[in-house]
Amino acid sequence: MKTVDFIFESGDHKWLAVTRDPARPDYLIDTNEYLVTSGGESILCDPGGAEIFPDVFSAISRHCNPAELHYLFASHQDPDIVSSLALWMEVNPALRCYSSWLWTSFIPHFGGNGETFISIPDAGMKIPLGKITLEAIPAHYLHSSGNFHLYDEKARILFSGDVGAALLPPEANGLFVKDFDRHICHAEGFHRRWMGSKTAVLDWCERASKLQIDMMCPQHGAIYQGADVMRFINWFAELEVGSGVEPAIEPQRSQGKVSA
Amino acid sequence: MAGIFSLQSLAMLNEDIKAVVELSRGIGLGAINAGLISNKCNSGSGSRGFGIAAEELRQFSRKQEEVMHMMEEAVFREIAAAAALQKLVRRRNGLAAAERESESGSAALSARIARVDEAIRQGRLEQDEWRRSLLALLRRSEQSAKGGHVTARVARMEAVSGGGQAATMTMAAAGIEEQVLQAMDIVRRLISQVKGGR
Repeated sequence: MKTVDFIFESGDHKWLAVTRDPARPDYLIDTNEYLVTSGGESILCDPGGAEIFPDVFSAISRHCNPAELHYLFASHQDPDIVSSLALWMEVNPALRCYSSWLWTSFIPHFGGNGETFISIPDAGMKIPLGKITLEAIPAHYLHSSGNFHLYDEKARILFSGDVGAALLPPEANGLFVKDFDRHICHAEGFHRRWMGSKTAVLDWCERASKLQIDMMCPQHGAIYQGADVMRFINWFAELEVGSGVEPAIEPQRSQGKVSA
Repeated sequence: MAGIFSLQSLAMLNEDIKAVVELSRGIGLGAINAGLISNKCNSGSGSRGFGIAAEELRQFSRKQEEVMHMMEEAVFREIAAAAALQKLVRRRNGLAAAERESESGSAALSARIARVDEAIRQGRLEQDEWRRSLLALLRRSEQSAKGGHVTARVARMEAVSGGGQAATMTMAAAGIEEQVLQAMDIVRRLISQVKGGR
């Protein structure tokens, strides 16, 4: 069973974090889902894969009516992000899904139809939800070529998709990052390999550092709070990324096929 | 075999179960309040009878809540089964479409479709079994609610003998009776939903 916590509450404006599932099968990467509600409307950020749908559905059902879920937000097109789409649409066929314009003809392979998707332009967009307005923040190439994060200015929360993700050992099961230096070791390999462009990293760091963020909520691992948010941005700005390229080139170099 | 449960109808069942849990908690709080009123009042057998009825109602609410939690767990288990069934149905539709398009190899596809059909049939049988066990829980809950309703009416009658507290007792008992009736209505609606399936 997944863990469910309200990480922000102000009247009917809430953030519900659906996180670590110790009972999940080892072959599935663990994911976090975040439900934002305001004024009787709700949006689920990165609803997850089809395999974990029952757990996410049950976790959310304990606190609200999943049939009243109005929107999904897919940060990008990966299966662990949104392959549960068809199942969510069984619950509410009128559900709409926000995603990058780049993916609105790819994600329908998971489910949905021509009416389901709301394309987000490359520059991002405002997303009204009940009494608040959220903002899709561009995070292209981090790691997907059409990638967005979701910012809630009122709650000062940034849903950051794969940025900030950490592949944590089972014993590190806290909701929040407690010891940044220890935590970041579990994020480093992931960011070096999954994030492909230094330009994109610096562009995102510039954007993120201008936002007021109390909590940065990644799709994998623990949530960054307070000063750890800026610590992460600074750490990320200095990180060398694109590590997958080196092993691919090195063997060719050794065979003399690529000039140094 | 009744119609299969969609994820949408399971979500609706769960919402009704949550509503009964809330009502049961309200009945429990009302019964505690009624017990306190009864303890304050020393006007003879009327208040004693009211106190006994209040204690019965408190136990009723606790048992009702327990049954509803068992049902919630049953619904959550069924959500996993319903999601798996949905995936099988989609897979079957994909294979059937491929079979229609295919000129060669349709025998292999037909064999696969038959296997998926068997898995779907098995899933539906299991859902039918689940439906029967859920119905048993709901009937238990309905019986219990009928008993709770009788007890709430007894409490209301006993309240008349409550001397100076009679009006307060009557109001407390009427409030509980109203909630018991609401819970019973929802349980009956759940029974008809589970019988029908959607």
